[in-house]
Amino acid sequence: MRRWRVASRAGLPRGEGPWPWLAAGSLALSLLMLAALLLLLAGRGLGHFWPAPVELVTLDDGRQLAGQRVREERRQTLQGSPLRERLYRTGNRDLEGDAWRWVPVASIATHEHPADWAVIERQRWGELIVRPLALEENGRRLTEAPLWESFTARLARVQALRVERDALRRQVIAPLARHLAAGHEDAEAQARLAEARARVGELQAAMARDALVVESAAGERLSVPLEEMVAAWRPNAMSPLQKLAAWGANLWHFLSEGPRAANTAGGVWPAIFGTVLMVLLMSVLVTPFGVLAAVYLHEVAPQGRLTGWVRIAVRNLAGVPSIVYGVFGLGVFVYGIGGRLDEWFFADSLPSPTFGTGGLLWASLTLALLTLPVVIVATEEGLARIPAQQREAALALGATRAEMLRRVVLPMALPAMLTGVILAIARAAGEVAPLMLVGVAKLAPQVPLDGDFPYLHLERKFMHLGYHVFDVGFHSGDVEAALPLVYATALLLVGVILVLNLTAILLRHHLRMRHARLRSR
Amino acid sequence: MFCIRHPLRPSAWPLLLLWLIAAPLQAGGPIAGTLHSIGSETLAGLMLRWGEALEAEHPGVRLQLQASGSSTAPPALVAGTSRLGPMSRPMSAAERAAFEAAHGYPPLALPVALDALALFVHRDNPLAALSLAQVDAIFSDTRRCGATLPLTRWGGLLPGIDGNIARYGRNSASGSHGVMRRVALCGGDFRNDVAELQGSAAVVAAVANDPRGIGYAGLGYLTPGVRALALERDDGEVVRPAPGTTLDGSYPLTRPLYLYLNLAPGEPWPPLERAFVELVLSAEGQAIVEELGFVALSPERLAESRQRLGLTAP
Amino acid sequence: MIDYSSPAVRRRQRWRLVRDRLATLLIGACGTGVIVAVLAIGVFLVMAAWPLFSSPRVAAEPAAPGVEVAYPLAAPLPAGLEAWLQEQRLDRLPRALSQAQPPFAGESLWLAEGHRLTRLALDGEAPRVVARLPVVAAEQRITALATLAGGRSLVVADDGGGLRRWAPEPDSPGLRPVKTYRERGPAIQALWPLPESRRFLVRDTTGLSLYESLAGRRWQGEAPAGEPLGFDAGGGLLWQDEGRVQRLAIEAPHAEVSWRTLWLPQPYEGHAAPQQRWQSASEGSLDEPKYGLAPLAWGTLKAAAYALLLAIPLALGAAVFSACYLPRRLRERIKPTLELMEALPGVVIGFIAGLVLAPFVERHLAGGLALIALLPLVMLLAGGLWTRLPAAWRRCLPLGWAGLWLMPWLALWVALALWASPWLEAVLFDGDLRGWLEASLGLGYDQRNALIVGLAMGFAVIPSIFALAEDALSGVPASLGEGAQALGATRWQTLWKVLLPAAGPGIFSAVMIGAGRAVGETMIVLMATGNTALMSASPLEGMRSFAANLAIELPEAVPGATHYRVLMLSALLLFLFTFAVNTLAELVRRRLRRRYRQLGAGR
Repeated sequence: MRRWRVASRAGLPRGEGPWPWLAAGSLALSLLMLAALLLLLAGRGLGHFWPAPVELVTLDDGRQLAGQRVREERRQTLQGSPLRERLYRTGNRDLEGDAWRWVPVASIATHEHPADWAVIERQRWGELIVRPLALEENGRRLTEAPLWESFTARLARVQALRVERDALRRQVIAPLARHLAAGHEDAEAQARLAEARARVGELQAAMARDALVVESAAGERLSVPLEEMVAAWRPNAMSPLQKLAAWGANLWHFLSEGPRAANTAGGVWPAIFGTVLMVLLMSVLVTPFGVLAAVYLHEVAPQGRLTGWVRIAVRNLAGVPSIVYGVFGLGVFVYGIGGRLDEWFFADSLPSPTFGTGGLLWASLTLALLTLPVVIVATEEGLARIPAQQREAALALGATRAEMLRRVVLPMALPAMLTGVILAIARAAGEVAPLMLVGVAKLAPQVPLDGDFPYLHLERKFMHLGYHVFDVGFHSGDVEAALPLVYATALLLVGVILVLNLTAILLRHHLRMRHARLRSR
Repeated sequence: MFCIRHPLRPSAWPLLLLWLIAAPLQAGGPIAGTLHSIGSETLAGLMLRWGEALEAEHPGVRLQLQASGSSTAPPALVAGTSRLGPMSRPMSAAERAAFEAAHGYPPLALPVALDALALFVHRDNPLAALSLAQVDAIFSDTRRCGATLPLTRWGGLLPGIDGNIARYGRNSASGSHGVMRRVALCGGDFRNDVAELQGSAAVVAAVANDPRGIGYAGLGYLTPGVRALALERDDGEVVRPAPGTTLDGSYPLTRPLYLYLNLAPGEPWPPLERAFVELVLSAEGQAIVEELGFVALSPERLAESRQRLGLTAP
Repeated sequence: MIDYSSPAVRRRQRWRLVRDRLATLLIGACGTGVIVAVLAIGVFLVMAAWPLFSSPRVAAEPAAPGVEVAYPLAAPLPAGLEAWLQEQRLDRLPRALSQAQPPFAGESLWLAEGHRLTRLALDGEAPRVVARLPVVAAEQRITALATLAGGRSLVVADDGGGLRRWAPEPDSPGLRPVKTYRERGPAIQALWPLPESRRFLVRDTTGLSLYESLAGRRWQGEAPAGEPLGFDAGGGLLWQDEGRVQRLAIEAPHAEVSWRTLWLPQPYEGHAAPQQRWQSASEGSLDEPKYGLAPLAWGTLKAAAYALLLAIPLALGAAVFSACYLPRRLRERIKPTLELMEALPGVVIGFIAGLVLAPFVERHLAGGLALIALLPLVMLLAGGLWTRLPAAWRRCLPLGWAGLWLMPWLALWVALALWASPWLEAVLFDGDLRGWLEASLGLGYDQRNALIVGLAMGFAVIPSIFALAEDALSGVPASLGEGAQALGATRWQTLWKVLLPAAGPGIFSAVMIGAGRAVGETMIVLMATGNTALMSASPLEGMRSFAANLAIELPEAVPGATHYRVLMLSALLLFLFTFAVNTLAELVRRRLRRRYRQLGAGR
């Protein structure tokens, strides 16, 4: 169909004027912006997990600080003089009051990368950036050499003990305690509980055995119990291969762990889980209804003016802002239906709402409604592509309409439906605005799926990757610490959505090819 | 730069450790079950961390937390659906009356932490202190606190420095917005060019990137990119926002955070709640308060609370 | 051969038909159900917003036995003051207590004497007269006086039927006229402010009316016989008529909202001039809620306009290039790539715009502004240089691939402009562009401004406009273009004279769809602006849009309250606007498709 263009491609575009260049430039600029955004996300998001070197900086006035370089800023001060400042992540929040320092570059006398400085991640108060001096066992100074190797071995021991303790607590003590607290008089359980508790006590004591004496850049010495530590590494002494391994491990922790320290550290596993679960529920809800509505519109309803108008309306609903769907969800599902359900079935727990507040079910329903037009439109397109001969042939062979639809039309429209559902999923996974109204939570201590009856808790709030980006970027206590996590989360979200979209595009391509073949036959 | 977070005194560490080890042993019967808490969003992080700490200490305990705003706490306490009601403001007279009507005794208000609102400027900004009337003149266009002219340019505060003042604040649903409006604006209106950002962290980040900016947020959100301003009170005294001045009440923009309890006089206290309150008022519980950027209660106030509740000395 | 008369076969046949009918019925029911559910959104929003405009109901009903007066008709004065007034023989005059801000702070007592108001300051030992002010025409007499909740407004009624609201001046002991409810009419006998609200009942010689401080008269009717006693705890007015007590139930939950208060500047308390303002009050406070939708509508349209300003040229340029110049195989790669751009979640774009781009642009403002002018020039420069290249080079960099090989060229210039930004600022603007903008153009600079939103949302809208415009352009029947080229037109001439006129409606509908998306986008505006409800067109100042406002305030709004319903109304407006725009676009597109089918009938 574009043969005329092929004819002119060989010749030079003489006399085209300046316009093609502006057009080419706009395309290039759009692509450039897209590339810049993706590169920024990928660079900042993935770079965060790389162990950055620790710099020991000596300032003009002789003071020292140790930290990881974050970024540099050039600007004019209010008084009008130019200034170049560098931000260091110095850790030691409990010692120095702040985990970050802005240092004017002009005031830096020297900086070096000493190999023996360590970054220690703790359970609370964030990281320590210190120089290890010695090990202590039960308060007694040890003289084992080499220090770092012996320290890492002892840290591994503490970690093993911690795993054992946590398992004991979760798997033995918790069920027993619940059993006993429910009023059962059970001497054997009592004994087992006491035994397990004694064991936990032993483990705690064993964990508390070791401590590491460290010195901060300001010269302050303190002894940190190994029990407090989560991980420790010496970035300046690591080989690139070791760093790569650490990068992989950090990335894995990010993907597989829950958030810590009010969402500014740790991982995003509950958010991934929540997003996926919500999207799954949504697709379970949207697929049958969307397909049925499309089949009705295209195959059953009389093709009159009214159907035309309905079709236009449905198509346009895809363009209605998502926040309006959120408003609908809040007003109808949460306050309307949810409030009624509470009155009827959960009256004993009122006034605290069960279904009368945002939750997984309402969020999925709202997003299902939001994506219904997408599925309807895609399925209808697929139905329209099926040649009429196929239907006529089926009917001519004596099939009823239901049989024709089920045996001939629907199987042929399957890829189109899939495309619609995948597009719906991609749209739903990235939508945040309606979720803010109908049930997303900044921190959901209990995931909606667990071992308690009825296993799937539709009324619970859940975490969501997109909302996590918003929440951590805007609400976390320490923005600087949270920013890299936001980048990483955003990258993850974009990655998921791009993969879903690519699948849809490939599927659609495949489908078009098949129908082109069918038609030409 | 002054330090706003007290590092935990070194002497406290061994004590705390000892307590952590000893706690599971000293506890008599097993404590298990679910604690229901309904209330403030500001306190959600604190409640969550306290719940985690309690769970670490007594496996089998679970905290069911619902945080949709302080106003949700009193109805839940009245109806008995929860016995813990975290609130970032004191109960109103009507809420208190409803509770008394339902239970026959007043609810127990337990201050568990303090929160201070600070005014932040960019780290380059040399301004040291503002009076409340100046704050009003910057942020409000009704100027109920007595300033005669609005302050729109830095030149009015800092001779030699030019430029418009860029104002950053929180959205109207937040408690910070309410405290600021009530205390600093004398109940007046915010100017309509005060940016309404979606979180305290966003306010601080915006000010850190804007040399001509000023914004308000919780003191715990202080980052190295910004400086917290001292406030000049009506009596002429200049007070810095710090845990000390928040504790003694000399800094004006503060608010206590409460935990409301449904505690009948003369009845035995459910062990689960007792353990929770004991944790909240312990050194560890208050260490969590500090870690999350709030201001911990003074030891005297803690001791007084503990005594009032009949808890043993730590 | 099947024997159709056999009962088994016939039964099966019948069963098949029944199944067919059942299935069709099921599909029909489900389909219509789903479609109705989807269309119910509009109905729901209308239902939720409708009560805002229902008229108030004031009706007399028998009072419940034992009901007591909770609020007297006029607030009682402090005991000492009452005695002092009696002593001075002033106790029969209409009076009201008010609050004012410094320097004339504290409570004042207002007394009406003839056509004058006397202000007594109550801060000292004994009341002292601060001012005497004529507030009505000399021939009239003030008959009633009342302060509204919060104590910052004084309503004055006279025997000529005039009813006005006054507010204490901030800097003098005087009063400022704020609003005239009516100039003249039947003589007013009494004013009764409703407890804890800004409404008041007015009794004149013809009957009773209900006024709201902003919206004016909301109800008018007959006054029952007898005399009022006071308000009960539920806000009803108890009315005594010969020993029989009646209750006048006043149901006006949304009296403060009318089309005027929503869209026109209003004289809010504490402000010198009427203002367009959106500032919802927290629940249960005595603050005056300000529900002006105009700043929000303005912000919504402003954000969309700046987004389209960026998106339309870029998206249409890219579409034209893709449809007319790109080699087919490249086009099959580029198109899905730009469609992927559409799938980027708003929250990610908003985060980048708000936390990364906004501070960055502020630091590189000169370079950023220079880029707007520079980039088109640089594109043309590339074209100029290209025609001067040796033919072999030109073959390596064909025009069809220019969309790709221009990328590094543009990136180079962007980097250059940003690098030179401090230098530019120092040389041209004395090192302070912000100061220069403020001083010479009067433009204030907000860090989170319309420029940032335009850039971020423009980026989000480009793909939707691109995809539809490209479809429209490449859907033009090939015969048209071939004809033009055969007659010797260049590709650009073909495009300009033949393709664009043919595809014009399609491009229009693409722009409409883009506008619909820009108007409803929530997260980008929420995160990238300061959400300041301003009405300024400046690209360097912020705005607050309907969508962002909904996301901020709806979770906190109490269902059924005025705030909630006003938010629902704004959602309805958003819905109607996008729906109308999309319908228009869809209709245009349909017509276009039919036209193509006719033109390209031979295809």
